[in-house]
Amino acid sequence: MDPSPTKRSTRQKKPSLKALESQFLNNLQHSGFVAKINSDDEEPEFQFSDDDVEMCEIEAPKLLHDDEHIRGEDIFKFHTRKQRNSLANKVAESCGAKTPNIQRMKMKEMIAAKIREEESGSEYEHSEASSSESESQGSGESSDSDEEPQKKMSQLKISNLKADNNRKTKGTNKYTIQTDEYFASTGKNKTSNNTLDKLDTPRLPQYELQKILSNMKLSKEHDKAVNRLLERNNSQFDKWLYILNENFSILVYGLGSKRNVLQNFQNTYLKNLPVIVVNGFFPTLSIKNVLDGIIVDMLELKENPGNLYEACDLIEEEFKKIPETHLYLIVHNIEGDMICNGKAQNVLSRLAAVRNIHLIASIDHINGPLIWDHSKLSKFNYIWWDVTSFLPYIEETSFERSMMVQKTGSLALSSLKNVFLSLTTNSKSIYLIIAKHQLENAKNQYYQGLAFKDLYMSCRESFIVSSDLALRAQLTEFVDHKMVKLKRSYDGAEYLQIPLPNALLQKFLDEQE
Amino acid sequence: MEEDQTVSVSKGVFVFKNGIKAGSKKSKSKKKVGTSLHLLSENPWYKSYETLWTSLEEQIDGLNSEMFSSVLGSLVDFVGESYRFDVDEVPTAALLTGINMPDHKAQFTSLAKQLKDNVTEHVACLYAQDCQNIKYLVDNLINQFVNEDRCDSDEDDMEVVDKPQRIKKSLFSLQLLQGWYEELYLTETPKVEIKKEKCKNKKKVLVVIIPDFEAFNPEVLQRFILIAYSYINVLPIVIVLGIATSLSTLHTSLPYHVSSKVSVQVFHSKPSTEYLNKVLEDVFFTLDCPFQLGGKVFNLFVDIFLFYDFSVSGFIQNIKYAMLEHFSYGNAMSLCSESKKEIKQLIKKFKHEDCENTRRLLSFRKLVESESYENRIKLLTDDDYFKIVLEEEVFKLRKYIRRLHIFLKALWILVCDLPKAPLGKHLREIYSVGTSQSITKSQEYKECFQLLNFQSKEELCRKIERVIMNVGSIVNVSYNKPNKLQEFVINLKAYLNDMDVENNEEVDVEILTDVTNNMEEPEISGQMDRKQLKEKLLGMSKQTSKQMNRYEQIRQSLLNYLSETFEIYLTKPSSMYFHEICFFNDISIRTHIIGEHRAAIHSALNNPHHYLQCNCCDFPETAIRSCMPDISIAYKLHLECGKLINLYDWLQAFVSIIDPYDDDEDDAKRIIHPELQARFTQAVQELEFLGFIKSSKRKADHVTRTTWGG
Repeated sequence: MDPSPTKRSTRQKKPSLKALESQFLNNLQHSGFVAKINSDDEEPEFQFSDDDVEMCEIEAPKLLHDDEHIRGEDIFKFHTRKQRNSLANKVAESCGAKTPNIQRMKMKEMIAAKIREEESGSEYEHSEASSSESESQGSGESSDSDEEPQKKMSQLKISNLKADNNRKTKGTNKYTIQTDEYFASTGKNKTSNNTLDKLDTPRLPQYELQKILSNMKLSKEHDKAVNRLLERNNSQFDKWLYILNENFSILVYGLGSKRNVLQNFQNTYLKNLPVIVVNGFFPTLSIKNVLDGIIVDMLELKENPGNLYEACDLIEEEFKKIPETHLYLIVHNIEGDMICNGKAQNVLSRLAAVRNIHLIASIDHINGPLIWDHSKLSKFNYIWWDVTSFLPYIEETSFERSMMVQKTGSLALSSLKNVFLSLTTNSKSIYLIIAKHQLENAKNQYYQGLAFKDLYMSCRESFIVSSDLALRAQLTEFVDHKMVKLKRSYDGAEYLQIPLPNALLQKFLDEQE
Repeated sequence: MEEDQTVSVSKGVFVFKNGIKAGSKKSKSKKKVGTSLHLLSENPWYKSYETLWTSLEEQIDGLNSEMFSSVLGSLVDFVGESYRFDVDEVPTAALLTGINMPDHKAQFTSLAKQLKDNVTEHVACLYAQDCQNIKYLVDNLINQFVNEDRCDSDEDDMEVVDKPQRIKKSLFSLQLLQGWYEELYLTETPKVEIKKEKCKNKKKVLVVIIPDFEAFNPEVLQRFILIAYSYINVLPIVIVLGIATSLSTLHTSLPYHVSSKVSVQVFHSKPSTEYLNKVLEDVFFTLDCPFQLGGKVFNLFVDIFLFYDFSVSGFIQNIKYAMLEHFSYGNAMSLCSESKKEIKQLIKKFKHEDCENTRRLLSFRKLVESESYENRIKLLTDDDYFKIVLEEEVFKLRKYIRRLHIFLKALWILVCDLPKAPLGKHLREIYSVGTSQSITKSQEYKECFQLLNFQSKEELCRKIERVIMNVGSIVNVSYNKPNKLQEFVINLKAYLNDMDVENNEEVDVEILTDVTNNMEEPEISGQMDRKQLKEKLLGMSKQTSKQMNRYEQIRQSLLNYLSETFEIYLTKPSSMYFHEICFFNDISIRTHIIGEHRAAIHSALNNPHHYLQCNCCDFPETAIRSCMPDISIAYKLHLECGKLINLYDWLQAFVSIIDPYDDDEDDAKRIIHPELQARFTQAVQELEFLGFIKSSKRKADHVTRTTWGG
């Protein structure tokens, strides 16, 4: 780089990379760590030669990101500051889009005012809201001006929709920092203090939710569209089978429940073939269940090794012996909570790599694909398939604990009732004593439970048990059924507690009496 | 009804047996389970695919073992020599493999095979997944040594009655291994006492291969090394470590007291780019391989290789998928077959549908348009005539592919070491240019020829010689009768001869030109303004360039000849009729190979119209309309929020979008229809399921966003 020779001479001479390396290796040799260095190949072949490095600098992916359907920048954006009212603004904007501009502004103000009313929690917030009002107007204006060119764009888009499918020609809005806006919105970005309790029915119970949803109908237009999507997806089945038989796995992705699609596939093509269906979203699924399903239920083998990898070995061997038999493994939500760990995925990938086990899986979580590394991916050997269906995830979400759904605990209550019914009268009354005691102390924040000694005394008083031992025998049964928890306090005394919310327990008691 | 089969609150795995039988149970019913495959195997295109792929696979396998054998040769030697002399450290080989993990399996199996063939039958391969702790490791190790040597068919151990010595797992320890080893070798010594010296060498070493060093728990490895060291005098153990990153991991994971017990020798395996080039050149860029990747798809695969995984096996799988996709077009593709005989027979057997299938190829239209009117009708309607034309064209295409490869290779030899290599250094780069456009018309090609025009005689001669050798070898092997290729070789040879002859004359010519140059020199004297001087100098420089010596003349004409030849043969594939039969260039397989999971969800949420293609939702991405799917509305609203989202506000916004007339009510505590609430609840649940939000404990009834932007 530097042409002047004088300068070069003053610079301290650095040994070349190669010299450094040989020096390093020599040192190692002296230290006794490395016996002798393989010196028969003059140049370590593994290293890139200088030319290669040069090439790497020049070369950039030619096609990899060329005609991506959605560009990375659109999906992964930087953190942007949100104004407190932007949600309301957005609503106003989209509701009044067809009305003239002035009316829209009025509407916006109206909604902003309404929201301010709703938010009138504390004085502090009030002032903040009013200060943000002017600013919200400002931003409203700017968004209006933004919208017009976008509208034009949209018309353009309709005209050449085909071309648009591949590449977003829409100009990417340049990100410019608006300083005023920044200072206006600095400080903590607060959300309002509204809670769902303001609603008449804060949370819908699960059964009602399901009832409503099952009665819901899509608009005609969308119904048609969804059916069209479904048909399109179903038309791929031939090819899937073909691909599966060539030792690829199929991974379906895209918005909407894909259970239906996979089920259709199973019903039309795999009807008489050995199939294992795994619900990855099932909350207590374990990878051992899957292996057991193959070893015990499918192959009916006598030995069933406890170690996961040994079980895999066994399956691999068994399937080698029956090359004519093909097993299809359908995994809904392969990235489900219980099987997204490395171990489970390792097992699945090994199964998928077996020549006559074929995997069809679906994936939904946006970060789902991150669970696989190179070696797993190469074992899975996926062919990806976009089967966006827009169907609701009803089964998949039915196990999720949403904040919007009332936790009725009906399951816990009914199971408690069932166990209770099978008890003897004596043990029933013992249980009732514990339950009543717990409810009496419902207000007590530090309720430890009913002490064993106290329980014994009250039981004796009512002639339920005669001995300490008999009571213990009863209690073991409760503990086994998880109806009661036994805790030992630090002073050694035992306390009994029923692991149920008090409201539920009350309901239970009411029903018993 | 079917819906219910796989939904349950008590289990997540559902088994549909459908008559599967374990192989170990001898009651083998003749009924085959899994007959779905046979639906396809009837089709001619599937047969063609199958034969082609199996032959390619064989070639790849052969190549693999050949490639690895050269690399691993020194390693095998090392293992063989390791216990020749007394050792006081455990001999260890560190094989630097590179990060392309999936490829290593082939490499290590081939290593194990070679060791078994050449050095010792005692080879154990330990994978990290089987060795979480030292006990498992030792179990695994001894199991592989002791039991695998005992009987080859140890898998079905239940039935092997006559070999009762299979040792129980609970007994495994290194003492056992020692006893086994001594029994195997020391008891034999008395018999061959005469050759005691040799016998000592005959004691086979125990090789432990650890393919994935990085994946191991270092503590387990440390302990294993210490144990191996303590047995060094009785058990000749050699460790082979496969290291994917660099040697320094060895230093970091083994402390001094361990590392001093091993003597490490480092081996390098070849970089995967070289491996790829080899596979491409020897398997896919051969003259006989009918299946060719078009430029776009080929570039895509190379990009995936270079920028994603460096995995050659992945590359091969991609090609396999491309082949699947290619052949699944229909029976027209069955003509993409290796032998000419086969093609002829296939065409003969073509049914009417197959002809129609072939007629649908895009390039057929071009063929029709180029024909006269009568022939057009004939082509379109007369199957027999069509078959004749088709056969002709397919053979033409095959010939074209042959020539393409031959001349691309010739071109590659000429240009691969030019400064800055405008057409690339590797054959694959030239191939990708050559299959996506007419290479002779490209800018890079012109640049290359300009550069070639400056080449010195020695270099050019060497290159031409190589080209002659390369093309000549093909010519000799394949044809005896004179043809264009031979002509090409003969012409090149003539040029070479010319250059040799010119060698003697050259000196004179150069002096001569020098003299003429000197004669012209003094013309610049005399006064003139700057412009004149400039013009003069320009003119002079032009003049001198016209003066060429003999070598330059020959070079010029040689290059012209080459260029003309290339122009004839290196046309782009799409200029051929029926090129679709052999060239696969459908870039849409990209989404199937890489997968655009996140992008698909993103576009479905932001722009549902893209997927639904309905009339009601065609709006710009930022707009929210009540007609959109619920989840899309909820998603777009959530984009407007900061890190925390208030569920109540979100619900209100959602409701006012779906049902805007509600706004007229002044009541702050608006009555929300349960249906709307249910829809919102479902949308929120789905967003949570997709991972866009998660519940938060920081504030009542709030959720946290997990993504940025929007």
